[in-house]
Amino acid sequence: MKTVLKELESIFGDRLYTEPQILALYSREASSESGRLPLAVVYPANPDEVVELVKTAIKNRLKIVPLASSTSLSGNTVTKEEGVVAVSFEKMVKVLEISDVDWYARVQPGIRVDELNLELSKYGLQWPVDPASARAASVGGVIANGGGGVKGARYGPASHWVLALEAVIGTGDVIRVGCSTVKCREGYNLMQLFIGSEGTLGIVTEATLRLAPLPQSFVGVMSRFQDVMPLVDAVIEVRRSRIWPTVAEFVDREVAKLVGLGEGYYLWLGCEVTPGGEKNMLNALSNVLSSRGEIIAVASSLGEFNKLLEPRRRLYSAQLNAAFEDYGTDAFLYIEDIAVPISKLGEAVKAIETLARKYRIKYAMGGHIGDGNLHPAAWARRSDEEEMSRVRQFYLEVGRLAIKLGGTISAEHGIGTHKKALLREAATAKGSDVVLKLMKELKRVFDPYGVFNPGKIVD
Amino acid sequence: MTAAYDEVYKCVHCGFCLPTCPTYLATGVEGMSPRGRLYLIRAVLEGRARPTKDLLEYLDACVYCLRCETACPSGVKYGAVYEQFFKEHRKELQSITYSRYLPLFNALNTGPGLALARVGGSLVKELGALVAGRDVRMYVGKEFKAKGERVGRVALFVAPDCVAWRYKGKMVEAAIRVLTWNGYDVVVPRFRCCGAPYRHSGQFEKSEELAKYNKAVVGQLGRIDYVVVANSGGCQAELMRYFDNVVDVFQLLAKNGVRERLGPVKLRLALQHSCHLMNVAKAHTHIVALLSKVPELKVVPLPSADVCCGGGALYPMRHRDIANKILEVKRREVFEIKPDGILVESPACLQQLSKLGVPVYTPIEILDLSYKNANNLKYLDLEIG
Repeated sequence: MKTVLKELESIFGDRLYTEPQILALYSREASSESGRLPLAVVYPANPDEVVELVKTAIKNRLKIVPLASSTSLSGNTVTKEEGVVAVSFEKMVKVLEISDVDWYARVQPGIRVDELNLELSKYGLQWPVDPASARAASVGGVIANGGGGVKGARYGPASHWVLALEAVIGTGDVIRVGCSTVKCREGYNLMQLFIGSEGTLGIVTEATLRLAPLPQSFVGVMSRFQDVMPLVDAVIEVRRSRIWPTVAEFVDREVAKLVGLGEGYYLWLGCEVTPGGEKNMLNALSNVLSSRGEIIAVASSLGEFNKLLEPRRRLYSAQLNAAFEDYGTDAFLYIEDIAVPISKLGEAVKAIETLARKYRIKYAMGGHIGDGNLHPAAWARRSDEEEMSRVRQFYLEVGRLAIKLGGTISAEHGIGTHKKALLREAATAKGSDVVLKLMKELKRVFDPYGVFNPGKIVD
Repeated sequence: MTAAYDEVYKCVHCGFCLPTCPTYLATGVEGMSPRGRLYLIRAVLEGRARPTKDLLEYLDACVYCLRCETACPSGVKYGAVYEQFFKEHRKELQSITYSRYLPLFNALNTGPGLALARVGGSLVKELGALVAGRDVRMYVGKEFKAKGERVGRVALFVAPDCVAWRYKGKMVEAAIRVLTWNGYDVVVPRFRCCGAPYRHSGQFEKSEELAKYNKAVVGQLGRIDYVVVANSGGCQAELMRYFDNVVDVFQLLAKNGVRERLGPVKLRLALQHSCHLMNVAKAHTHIVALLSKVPELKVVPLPSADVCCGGGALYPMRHRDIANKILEVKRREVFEIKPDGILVESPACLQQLSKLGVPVYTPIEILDLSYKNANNLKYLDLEIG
């Protein structure tokens, strides 16, 4: 091991850390999952260092776990294995190029999403993949985790917004996949394999992102509903009315209380419009919403809407506080992540409610309802094994519910370690177990020595 | 396990605090972040790590701006954890960087020390800006009468033996004029240092002693509505620990409305907030709101106005490289804005940002200037009663 560390030091110099207490910082993530200490943590500054690292890992049978901000929620970054080198991209944070004509940006993986968008806004552009963790989450992490976000209702997830990637694969080769143009038909779409691969196929060292212009004008409404079903009906009706929101977020009664809103279920709808069309769009939204709930605020600009959306942004904070209120520092909070077709939202919400009663779970829910993405958050006393067991069972059932309703066991947060069993169930339910086998074979194509982030996605 | 340490377990590793932390922004290293520091402390508490020099270096590098507390969705009270840990590992922590500078600081931060520093200021370059200006002692021990209808009586915090205050005569006089003009009797008792520098450097007994003394001082003043601090977030945060009614001048004026007439101040100033004014006292919005009433004054926040300037707790000496990285960002921003000056809300910020070569003002000075420019009769008269 000493020899390996020497080799790593020769590559990274003072950007190699081996102190145990520092290593401990890189063995956990936002899901509260803990793992084994890595052997070392390195901070590459450029792709060449990553290549050297991979070659060293192959030679010495090391494992590599790439990470950025460690805000993952499905055990995507923690490892149980020995001989792991954690690779942090916190120092590769440059914006290499922004083209305001071609609408792309070339960036290093460590840059945070909010920072990137702040820079892009100077050009009137945006990278519209905005997880609720955007102030902390990095572009590289969002790509590797295939993340989505608040604007997903209109813009879709990360897979729609990456043009090209530069990556180092498990052979130590550098590959460049994709193009700088939106239309790109150069054989198999290897780039898309990387999106959502959770660090298991290779290390992304540069990304060429597809950008969208910032909206020219924006309107939004905030509505309150007495019950969740009218809210769901409203969302369905919006779709049926062919209104295409950019943002469609909701919180349930529990969360509403927690963030200081009045009694009820809340829905935020925001739409991009052409200047001059604001009134028409607001009228259309009002028509759908007024008959099912109460419109309590209207926004005529993106800035105004962002203010309205503040309570929604406090969803996570509120859930944490509720957990701490109940269990103090012994609280464990777990946020589930499924998606169902919007037409099944009502059914899903009711079923989750039933499951929570069945397993006696304290939970609160909010999420990106505009694309059927639900995030029930449940909390328990960490030291109470029985209660923790009920929570785990609850989440297993929620995943199965998603399968049953024709949705997905994982909408944004990926498989990591938490969802491996559910992934098997989903594949079986589709009569497509062979898919898991194919995934294993694909992993082998890119990572023949099993270097990258072992134990994730499929065994 | 004390109550403060319970806070450690509230951290859920979400990472929201990372981009708020000036030391993490400057280094990109997890250990230089609030999340990392909390985890290191937790590791020590749980016996998984020992408080070695390597580990404590990360804690020592904290500028204690508490910006992370504002950002944390779990509400982790980072400051309480940090302070408790500092108490328990005082010697080890002080030995990282404080030990090299504390003797100088402790000697300097006295009446005689400050007198001497004025002469030898150039020898202590870091503190040069602090030891320039009019001596405050000519105001200490006096009570100034309210003008117009009397609204209340306040004690103005001035510590003539503190490096932050000794040479702030101009600022103190401005505060007295503004307060009396707005209807307050102003008592300027002889306070001693609020205690913040001692607490932050682990000298907890000293800070307790100072707190006791200052409380006694106020106890002898008779009825006092507020202890007023003139634009010093750090002092205010410290005083709030042992006084119930501590406010910044602007918070006070915002409460009752400011009196007429405000004249034009034709300056365009770049604004840097004080960490503690913003993160503890929550007074910074009042300052901006009140100054917006001053005709022809333009206040433009620095893009990183709410990120610590790295000027407190002897930081520029203890961690010159990180402080310079932080300052470099400020320099770049000031260069882009090209203001007439910089508006700061704390003496420590004044000291740090003076290095940028642009005039530095405090809000109270601006307000005072505005009243003067309006040619208010009797504004300049200070009646001692």
